[in-house]
Amino acid sequence: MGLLANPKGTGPIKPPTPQYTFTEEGYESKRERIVMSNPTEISSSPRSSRGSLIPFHNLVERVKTFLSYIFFDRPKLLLFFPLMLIVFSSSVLVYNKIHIGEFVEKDYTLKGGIKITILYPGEIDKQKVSRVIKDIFGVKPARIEDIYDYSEGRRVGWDIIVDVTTKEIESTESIVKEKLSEALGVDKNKITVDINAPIEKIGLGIVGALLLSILLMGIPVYICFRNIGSVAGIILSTILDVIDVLAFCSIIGIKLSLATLGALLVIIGYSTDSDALLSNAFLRGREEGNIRERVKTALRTELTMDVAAITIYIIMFTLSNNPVIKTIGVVSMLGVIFDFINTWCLSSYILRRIFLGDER
Amino acid sequence: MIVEILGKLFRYKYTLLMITLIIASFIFIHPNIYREGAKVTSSINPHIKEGDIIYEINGIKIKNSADFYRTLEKLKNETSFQIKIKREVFPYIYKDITISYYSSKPGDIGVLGVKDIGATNIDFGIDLSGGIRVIVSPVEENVSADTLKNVIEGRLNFYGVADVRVYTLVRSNKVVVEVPSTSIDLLEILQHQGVFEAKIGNRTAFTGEEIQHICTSPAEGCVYYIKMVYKKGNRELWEGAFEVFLKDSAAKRLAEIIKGLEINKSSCFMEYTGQVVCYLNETIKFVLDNETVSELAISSDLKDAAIRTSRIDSAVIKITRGSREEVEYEMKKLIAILQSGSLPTRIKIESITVIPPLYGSMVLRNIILLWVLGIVTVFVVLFVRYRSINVASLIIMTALVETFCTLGLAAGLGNLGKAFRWTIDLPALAGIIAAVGTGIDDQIIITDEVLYGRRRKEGMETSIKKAFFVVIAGYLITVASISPLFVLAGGTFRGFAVSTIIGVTLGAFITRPAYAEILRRIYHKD
Repeated sequence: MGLLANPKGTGPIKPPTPQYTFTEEGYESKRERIVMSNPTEISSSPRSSRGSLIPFHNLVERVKTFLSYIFFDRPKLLLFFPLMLIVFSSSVLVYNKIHIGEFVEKDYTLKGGIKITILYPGEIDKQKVSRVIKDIFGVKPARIEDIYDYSEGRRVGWDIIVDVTTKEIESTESIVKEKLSEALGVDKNKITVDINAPIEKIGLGIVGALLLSILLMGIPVYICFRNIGSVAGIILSTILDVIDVLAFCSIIGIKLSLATLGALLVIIGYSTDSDALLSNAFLRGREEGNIRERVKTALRTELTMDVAAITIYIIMFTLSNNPVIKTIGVVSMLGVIFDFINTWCLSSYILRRIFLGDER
Repeated sequence: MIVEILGKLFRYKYTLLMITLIIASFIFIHPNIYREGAKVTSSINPHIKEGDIIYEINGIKIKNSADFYRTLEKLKNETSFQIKIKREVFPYIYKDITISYYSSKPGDIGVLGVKDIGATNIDFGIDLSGGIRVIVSPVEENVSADTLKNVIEGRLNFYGVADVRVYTLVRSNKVVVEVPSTSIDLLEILQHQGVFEAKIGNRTAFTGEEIQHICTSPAEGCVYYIKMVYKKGNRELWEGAFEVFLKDSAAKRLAEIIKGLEINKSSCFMEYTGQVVCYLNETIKFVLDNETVSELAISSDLKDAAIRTSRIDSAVIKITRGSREEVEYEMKKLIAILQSGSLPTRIKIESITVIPPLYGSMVLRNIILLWVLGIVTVFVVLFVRYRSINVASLIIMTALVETFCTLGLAAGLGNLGKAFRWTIDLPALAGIIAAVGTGIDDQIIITDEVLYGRRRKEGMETSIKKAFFVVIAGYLITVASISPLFVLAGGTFRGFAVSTIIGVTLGAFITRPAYAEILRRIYHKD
């Protein structure tokens, strides 16, 4: 027996009575089938209408029924995913802290460093470049990567990243230009040296800004939904989103940079949309007495939003020639995936506990 | 009848508002078809305004800014000029004006800076147009970033560097300087410390380090003004003044030097106020790096003050010129020189980024490509989901309108003045994309709510109202979560924050309600 038919369903807010809900649920389901089978109606999911005619012979329908059962009747099982993720992610971050001294490795845009751009489309001798860089700075370059212009379909140059900071800006610039131009036979004017100061501690720090951002968003959530569960859900799922994304970025070798930070903030904004959608589904569902239907519709909306976002991020990652845009693409894509898990498995659990009470 | 029409139109008030916004954005973005000539960025010539297009000087055609400077080089011995300009009197309506100008300085037409006419009025940051970005800080801690910013701005203006962008990083003593050109030696200009001296005869009256404060605003409670003091027919006389406060040692020295000067009787004249003004027999010269940059007469009042109090704690520097622009320019130049000299520190270069113009334009082209592909794929996703070409197209059209209007607003703000100048750089573009992404999400929410409402036989208005609850909640949460970006990493993400907030605000209050109005119409027909 599902939650909606539970006679003990008492939470902070009075749940609908079991009979009424049961009747309404049945009525709603029947009505949905009638409406869906009407060919003049714009169907939001034509496959579901076909599937509903032969429910147990259709694999998709079976999966849907199973997921629906898990989501509405065994929600605690769903908690497994965000919890497993957060345990894994936290372990990764702690491992980083022990081994490299910081939870997430920062790149040159935050902790200071040098990026050398060579606008030369031909091949360069990477070993020679490494030797020159080591001669100048005492360390090998952290990365040598090509710059590809997709609109022209060709490589236009190379980016060399060196993880060192220097105070001798002018002399470093001229030495690097001179030595690389000599070693590679590239015109000096085609080489630019980007020397970054450590800016991570300028103004409000990164952690401070992220925390402030997460805390501030709680205010409008409370004003709109008048519900502490929504605030808790949104804040918790956003914090988990950020931790999961940071951990997976460090696994795939993306360091924390200005671009990653930007993407994290996009994720925070994006996460709020999905949380607002979910909170609204519970709120409206309670008013209308059809929480199941409301949440299902919200899930369909969320999936449409996520698929649209993920396709854009895949394009950004695969077709951009700019490392900043590429990073934003990957990080945002991870964010959307984790946000889906954290919102629909964790926030939804908190919200249903608040709106519907404990099912036990 | 009219009431009926107005009533009908009012039902589409957001759509009308959106159309108005599109037209305004088009005017602000101002795609330029005719791009020949040099656009004036700064002028002290009373006949030439900022924004005028110079296309001919003394019969020589000017095609771009390089042509302009080449022509002036050719005409460096001329004092008489015939300048042909185009002035935009209304969007896309130009008036041809021919100016006959006689200059006291050979080769000088009073135009301080010009630039090429861009394809649009959108001000792209150096990430996208190429240029140099340098982050600097004062060596000594007691110098504030704002003082440093003013000095650098003044110094770069003094050297005639056009379109420079100087801003401080929030809660830090660092200043960012961006110049959309890679051909100037920015480091040389910035690191040039500038030794300033004010000399009377051969004696040093005060040095840069002895200047305590320079009044740069009337709000400071000291002397600072620019006003018109005389007008007869076309002839105008403008006066500007600002006060300079000196440290104790300089106050006494200046008084002593001035006490020893004589009044030059032949210099006495009746001022426009009716008062007789006389000057002393020596002038005060402002010398920067051993080069006299300005020379001013000393009023005889100062001698009286010096005798009376044996010290001159502050002096008012007055400038009189034929136009407000000339006075403003001269005051700015003098203040920059004085501040530059008064800066008791060397500038430390913290970081330098050089973005070649080729690289910048390549990034911009790539972003446009990504944008087009993104729009196409989102259209496909929406079409598969809704099986309605109308709904999918409407969502995409709204997203395009949001992008266009946000860019339009960026260009429009630039017209309000330098303080409002909003540069579209990489973070700003990311912000626009984030805002438009949120817009697409919101439209999906509205569409789903409307479809859901139809299934439940709910009224269209109720569905839209319910959808807008989520839209506005999402909007408020986004604004709240984005706000800390104004201060993160010293405001590095300010561009992102501004464009996201402007984009989502335009969306939540204009384009998304307009989308709902049109959607209502589509489903009403069904």
